[in-house]
Amino acid sequence: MAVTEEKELLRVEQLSINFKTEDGGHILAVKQLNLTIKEGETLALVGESGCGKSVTSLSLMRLIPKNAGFTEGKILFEGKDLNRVSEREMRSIRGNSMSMIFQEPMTSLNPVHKIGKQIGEVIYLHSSLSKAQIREKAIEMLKKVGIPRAEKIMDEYPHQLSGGMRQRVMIAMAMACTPKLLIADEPTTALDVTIQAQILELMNELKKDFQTAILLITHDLGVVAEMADRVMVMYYGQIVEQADVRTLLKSPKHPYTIGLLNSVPDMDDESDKPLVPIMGNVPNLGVIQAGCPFYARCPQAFQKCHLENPPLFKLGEQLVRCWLYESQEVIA
Amino acid sequence: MLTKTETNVQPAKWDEMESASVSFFGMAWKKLRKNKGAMIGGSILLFFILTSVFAPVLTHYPVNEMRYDETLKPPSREHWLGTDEFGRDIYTRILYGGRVSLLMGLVAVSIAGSVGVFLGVIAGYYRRLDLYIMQLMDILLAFPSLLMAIAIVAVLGVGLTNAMIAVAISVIPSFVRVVRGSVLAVREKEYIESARALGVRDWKIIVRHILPNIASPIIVLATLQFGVSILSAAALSFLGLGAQPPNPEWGALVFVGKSFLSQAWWMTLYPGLAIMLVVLGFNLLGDGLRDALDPRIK
Repeated sequence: MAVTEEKELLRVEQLSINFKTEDGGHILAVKQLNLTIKEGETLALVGESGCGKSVTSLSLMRLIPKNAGFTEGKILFEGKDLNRVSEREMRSIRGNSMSMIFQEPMTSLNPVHKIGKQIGEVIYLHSSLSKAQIREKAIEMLKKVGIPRAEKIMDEYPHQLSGGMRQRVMIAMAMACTPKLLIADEPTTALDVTIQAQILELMNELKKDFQTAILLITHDLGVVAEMADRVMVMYYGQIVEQADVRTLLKSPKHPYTIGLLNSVPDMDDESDKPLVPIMGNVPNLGVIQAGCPFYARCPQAFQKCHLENPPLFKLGEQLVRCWLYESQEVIA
Repeated sequence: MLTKTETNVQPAKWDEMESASVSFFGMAWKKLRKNKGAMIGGSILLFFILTSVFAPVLTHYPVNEMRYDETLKPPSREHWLGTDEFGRDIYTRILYGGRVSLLMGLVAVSIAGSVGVFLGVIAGYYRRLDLYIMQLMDILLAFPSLLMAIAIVAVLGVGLTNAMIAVAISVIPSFVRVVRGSVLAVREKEYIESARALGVRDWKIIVRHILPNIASPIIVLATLQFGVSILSAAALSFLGLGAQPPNPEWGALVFVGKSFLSQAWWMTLYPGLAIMLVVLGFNLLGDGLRDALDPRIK
């Protein structure tokens, strides 16, 4: 799935996200992150809980409340710096050319409104269609996401639908205005495995139909293998490894990525060897430390790791933030 | 190395999920109908509402006409609930007084409800103003609400309108607190974030997504506060600060009757009974609504 000379859709430069803490200090949740997404591409952002994935996605939509945190850096979406556009313009982008689906389908739909009204609202906001046309379009979207009896579902409430169905509705809402970029924040985490597979397949189909780029946020490497073109592994608010999906899964370079892959069970492996977990937790973001943030958990750590945070090194097309590859060219 | 997930799975069976499309309030109404207390409360209220609306049909005595040959008559066939010191029919006056008392409750709750919901939403949604609004409400809550109402009447002056305003102001804090708390709980829900991610603007999020979700506690509170307001308004009138005689407001009736307590007990008992019943009705209905609108109680 090599990406060839497609247009760049989103470019994030030096994105840092700060959160204010209760005692007046602040926490750097994301540190100088760079990423690009090309049109029609799926980029996966991988990492364990608390490493800054979701915050990154929210900041792209500018949904981090101003009093909670502030972001620095450029978010160029179709050439526009989203950190500089007006709130009004931002609203016209949200749900229209950039939309988002969330982790919890059970709570992502408003319990007091009928499904039709909720899908209709997005279409109403971003188009000038008549009431009947909106309804028609909403039904069409529901059919497109594989919902049987779409007309009937329109007049039902979210509690009458199963988790998988609700996630389909969420996807229908997100895709209703054919966005250029769909941010999917752990879209299948709350679903059971068979439904997961259906949802992923659906997202892949829609991506093909609408030429939508997807920023997939997940901690599930199975989902990554299924969906992604390129993968970025995040740890402690920064990118630690970046590569196309095959390279990353076949020859991971960063000890953290290797650890992540080792902790996934292999269905083809008949032997009873135990899984290798990554010991410890992501360090507390408030604690400022000099060395590599993965140092304490890294099986290959050495003296230098303790002293200095490594830059990104370039190994062919792969980027790795690890001193093991110090001999390579430095990117950032 | 990775788990390969099966992708060719049949879609879930949909016909099994056949369900009647019953709205939330439809279900609440069903639950409410099963609640005896609420039904009794509702009936009491309906009775008083109907009697005050149809007062002219239900009595042939004029409200304020004085008849000196009929003063302080005990309950009899001509005067079911007796007459007052000017020979006016108490039954008639209670019927007409219900109009004033119920209206006072309605106006006070409407004012307090709209102001309270507005302030509560502002405090809960825009957290920047939260501290100031809530501190102001805490100050208001520091006084017993009746004392507060008396103080406000003292500032505004005696009279029916001012009494309504005073009662309204004394009830506002309870609305603000309940609404703010509910908004705080709802604003963190994912569907609010999702609405924002779809480009919905703030006030639309408040009106279309938050308010309908906090309607239940507001309805319950308004019902309970209706009773409280009528009681406060009657208390103000009883103290001579609200409705003034010859206005047949219930509190004012009790106020007048108080002077004749030893000769004409019916002048105080029956209006007092009316107040009690209406407040009881609102409380019963409010409690029933609280249970009916709570999705956790089946």
